Amino acid sequence: MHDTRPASTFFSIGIAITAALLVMIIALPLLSESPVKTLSAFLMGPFRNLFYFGNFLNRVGLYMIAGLAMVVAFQGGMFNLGGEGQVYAGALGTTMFLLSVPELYGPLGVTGAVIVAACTGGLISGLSGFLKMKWGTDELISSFLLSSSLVYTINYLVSGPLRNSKSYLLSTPEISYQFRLPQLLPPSHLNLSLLTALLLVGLAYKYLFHTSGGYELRMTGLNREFARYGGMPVERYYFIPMALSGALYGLAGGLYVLGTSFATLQGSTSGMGWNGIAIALIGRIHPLLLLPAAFIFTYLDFGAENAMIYADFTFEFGAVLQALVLFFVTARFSGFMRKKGGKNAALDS
Amino acid sequence: MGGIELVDITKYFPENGVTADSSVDLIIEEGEIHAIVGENGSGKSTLMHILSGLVRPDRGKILLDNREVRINSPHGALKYGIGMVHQHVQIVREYTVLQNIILGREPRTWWGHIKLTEARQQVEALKKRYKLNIDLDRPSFELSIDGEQKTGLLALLYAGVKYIIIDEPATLFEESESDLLHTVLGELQKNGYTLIIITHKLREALHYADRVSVMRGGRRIITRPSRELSQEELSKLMVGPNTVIPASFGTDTSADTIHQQKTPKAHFKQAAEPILQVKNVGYAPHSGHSALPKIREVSFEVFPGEVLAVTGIRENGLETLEQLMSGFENPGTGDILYKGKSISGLSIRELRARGFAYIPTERMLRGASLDSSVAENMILLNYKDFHSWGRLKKEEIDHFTGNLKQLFNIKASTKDRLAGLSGGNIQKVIISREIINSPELLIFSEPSWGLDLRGRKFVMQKIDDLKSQGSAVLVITSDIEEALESADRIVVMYRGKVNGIVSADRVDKAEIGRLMLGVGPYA
Repeated sequence: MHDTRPASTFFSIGIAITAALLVMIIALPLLSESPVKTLSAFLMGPFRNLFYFGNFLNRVGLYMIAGLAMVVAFQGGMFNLGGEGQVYAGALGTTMFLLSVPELYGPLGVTGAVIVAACTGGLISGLSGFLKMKWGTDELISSFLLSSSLVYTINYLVSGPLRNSKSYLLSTPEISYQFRLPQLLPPSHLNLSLLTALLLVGLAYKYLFHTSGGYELRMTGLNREFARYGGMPVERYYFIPMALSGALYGLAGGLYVLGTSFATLQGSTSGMGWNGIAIALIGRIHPLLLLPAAFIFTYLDFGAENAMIYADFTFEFGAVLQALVLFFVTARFSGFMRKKGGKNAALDS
Repeated sequence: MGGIELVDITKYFPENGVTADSSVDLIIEEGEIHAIVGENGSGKSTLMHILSGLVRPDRGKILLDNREVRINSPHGALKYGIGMVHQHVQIVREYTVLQNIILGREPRTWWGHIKLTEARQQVEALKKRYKLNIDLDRPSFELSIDGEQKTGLLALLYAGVKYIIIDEPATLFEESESDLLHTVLGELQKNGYTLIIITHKLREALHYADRVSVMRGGRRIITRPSRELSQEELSKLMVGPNTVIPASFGTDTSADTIHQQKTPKAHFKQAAEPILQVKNVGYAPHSGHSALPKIREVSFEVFPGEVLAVTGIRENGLETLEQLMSGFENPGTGDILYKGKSISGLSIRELRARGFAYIPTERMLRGASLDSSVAENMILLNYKDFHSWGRLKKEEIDHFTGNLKQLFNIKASTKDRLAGLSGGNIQKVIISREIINSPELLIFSEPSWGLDLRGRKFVMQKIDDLKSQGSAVLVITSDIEEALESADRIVVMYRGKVNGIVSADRVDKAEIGRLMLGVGPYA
């Protein structure tokens, strides 16, 4: 179907980034003893050398999938607040599956692991959708509560029963070598998951805008009353966007294990769930705009980390900067959230 | 002389292209009961919404005791002592009646505790003085419309207003206690309140009011003392005599020309089975569940090749009927048959699968997805025809939507966001989608809602086309002219019941008007 979003969104995202960076440059002399050094460390972060650049791209890919998870949920009019737990569970599911079949033929194992990751996340998030469908339980609350308890449970498992006793880290044992995704730019972490992410973005775009299922999902998300009026099976679109969203989050966790960490480390995927929301919003909940959005967000993320290591940049300031970008980008975007409430648009005469 | 003076009030609603009020002047004298009468869409409600701060005028001013005042919100209006009792009073459902009445003006001790007993005494006194019988401890969600209005009225009295606007005061009391209304209004007047009542009911207006203003087509036609007016005169002024057509409707909609244009009833009608049969249908909202008016014992049939209009004044059951016919609600009693088979209890999805076409009153909320493209709005009913293996075939969609755009002369690209289109073009998108495949049954609610004269003609033509193809069309409208113009037979609803079914070529506006107001049909 046709994409009705104007190209001007690119432009307005650009303005938001510029505004946020300007705020930072103005504030930097007050906060840093060597503002020039800090700024260059920040801006040059990903481009310091190929190792950094590879790691940067790797993170872009993973964030893109997390963002995509939220794009699908938002497009269907649902809000999945359980990303943190779903990513974490996807990672653990992948790890445990591959640890239980150490001798399996590599590609077969990877395929199985990807399926396990998607199903783990999908089932967890799908449950929230199902509860909403059945009893109208608010999916924000159920997905968040479920995810929070999962994070603690997995923390316990990783540091207790499933912990690799030979490692000093709080981590599960590592998966066998035949399951690890090919590295693209060693020694950096960049691996096949970036290409997988691009593929998923393409698939999601096709699904949302060029299939009848995607049409139903989007129409239901934009105006549930309208979809119902047109005779669409609106009930199931409480479940489908949530399940798809969880599956993508789970995949993000699984791919992180397959290509980057090779084990589930305690807290290693922390932040991916929340960042997915931010990236989806920066990308105006459109799959194709996710590409620049994931780049921008990761750039800021990465730059802040780099400036913390190489200059006297503080973690808090990095967080403030990300918040600023989010603020400027979503400022004109608040209409979406209002619509989610349903039929309070005022056309009453 | 005290009182309110409205000067040159003009209000245009860009959302649906309607000028609700154009240059209206009106004087409300202190201490009088002033009735404002007019048909739906005559601008009387908007005018009062402006006075009560709910709507801001584009032009004009409000003088209170000869001093200009700016009323920007209902709260601001209350400060000037002006309040309005709406037909649907906004209440906090979880609160009791008393809590709702004192909401925002709770008497408090200095540490913020609400002095409920003190408030109760004051409200009880008001209740007693004005004979407003209502249980203060009842949870508000249990209230019916009259209870809500009483709550609203008491809240205004409690807030200490001087000017009270009441929208359709007849609903303040149930049918059985309607003479109480007179007492209440009289008592309020005696105590120095100035009352403005908005009403469709002419008898009521003449009976209660000192002066009556008639609104038509966004203008005030006259204001006269009620004793100088008869009901007959008033009804003529309100609907406009047949020879004089209200300005907003253009010039060529007089009864004669309409009936010449209309295709005669199809010949096979008598012999054929009805497409739609409504049998003894009743509906009462679950307590506090929805605000739909009750209906009972509603029966009618629609035949192939026939347009049947159901008309009536708002709150008399049209909204309910629309919800029931479209499958959004299920009837409480009775049955609805489509081609002889019962359809009550079926989902909207199943009704759509049986070929129901339906254009809702809530065009913008229910009938359209404003944030989607024109094409996405057009393929709502048949998007499944365009897919193979789940993929939508772009070329076929482009062909279909391009075709609709041309046939219905829609001035936009199919890729445009629907919200960017003019009201008339949005309507065309909706209508085109619903009727392109010649449905056997079309449920069309308020056909010319928000349309200008050209749009209205276009819609009437489409209804007529469907009819001549042998489809059945059920028009649900609160506009008498529209019912007469489009339909072969007209069902008139009053207080949730069918008050008469008349043949459109054997009836005039005045008679339908009488039926709408609850008077029996002429023998």
